[in-house]
Amino acid sequence: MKKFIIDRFEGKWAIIETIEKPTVTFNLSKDLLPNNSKEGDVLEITIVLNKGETLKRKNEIQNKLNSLKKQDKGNNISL
Amino acid sequence: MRKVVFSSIIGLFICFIFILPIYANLNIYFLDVGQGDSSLIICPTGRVALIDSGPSSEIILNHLRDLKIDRIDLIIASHAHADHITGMDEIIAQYKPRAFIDPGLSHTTTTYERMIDALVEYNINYYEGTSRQISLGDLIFTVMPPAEPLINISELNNNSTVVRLDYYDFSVLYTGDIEKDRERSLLNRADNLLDVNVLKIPHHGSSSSSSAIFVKATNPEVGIISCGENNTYNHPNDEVLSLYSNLDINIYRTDQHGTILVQTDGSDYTIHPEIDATCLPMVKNKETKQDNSLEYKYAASKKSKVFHYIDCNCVKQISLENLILFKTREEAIASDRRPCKRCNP
Repeated sequence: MKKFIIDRFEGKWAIIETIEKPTVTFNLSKDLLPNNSKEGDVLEITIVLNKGETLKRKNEIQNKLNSLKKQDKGNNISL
Repeated sequence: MRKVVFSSIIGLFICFIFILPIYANLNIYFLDVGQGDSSLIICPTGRVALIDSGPSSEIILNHLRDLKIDRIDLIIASHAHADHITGMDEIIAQYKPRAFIDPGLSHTTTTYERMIDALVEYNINYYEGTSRQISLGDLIFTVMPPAEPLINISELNNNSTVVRLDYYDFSVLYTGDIEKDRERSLLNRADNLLDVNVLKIPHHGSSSSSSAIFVKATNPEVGIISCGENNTYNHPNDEVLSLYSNLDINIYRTDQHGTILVQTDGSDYTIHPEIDATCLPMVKNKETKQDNSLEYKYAASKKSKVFHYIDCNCVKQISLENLILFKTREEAIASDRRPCKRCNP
């Protein structure tokens, strides 16, 4: 479990600072934080890979691309 | 009499057809889109090609509007990352290009999906970035051979569609975000096509790319780096810059020079950076303060989207007929201009 600190809020973004060195900051949408979050709060962030959803999107989009590829006859193009 | 007029018109028409393409310029813009890539190519015949659209639909659509682009014939998306294809869906909807090319490798992002959906919705002719030529009048795009098999390390970057552009004796190599593995593949598969005048330096000048052997093979006089000011990715890398410098290759950077225009008649070419990166703000002196124009603190050219402090050296290069003055910064911003990156008004 990684720990981070909320440095500040800028509009719809929370600027998050790493505790571990080297210190870096990154933006996270405020919508992703608990409602009562405030500057200086320490966050614990766990990120989980959703392999099922990844595969679903991959297949859906690949099917769309495959339908486009069918048009291509491999020829040179003159415009 | 009617015969003479008719002959003259025919004569003029013949001159137009045969002489214009020789003397008219090809304009190649490396657009300042922040941290990303986008290049717009405008042929003397009016045909237009776009290679990548950068990281923001607002920025690219503003560029297209400012350059009064009313048609795009060809779009090439080097690869599916968002810093190269954001806004493609809107561009496709607005301009309905006659041909669209990408590497044929899908991505799961919504930015990529929207691009594909727009191609389907508007029935755009889709072509994979396999070895082939595309002619746009006298301008020839040669798509370089993809790696075989495809490179699975840094897959989307390395399998970017790489395109060589030739206009008579002038040439540019567009490299997308290829890394050293693909550079090696190109040396093996297409080394006779790599020698060019201008190189769009791979991957924003990252250390992942620009192996010395590849750069030497491309042998450019000019290298263009497209990257954002103060980006957090260390683009361009210092060692990469040193390599180009040691090989006497002139570097232009969109983070320092703004949009870079390369103009060529197919033989000679000239580089026109939006910002003269050698220009520095002048030290204010008493003479300037006594000047009657003191109440005007900011200046811009009618032809530019950038404004400066009135004493910036860039202002000296603006002709009087194009000079616009502003009393306040707000006035300059309201004119839809952005601050000069050198004098930072």
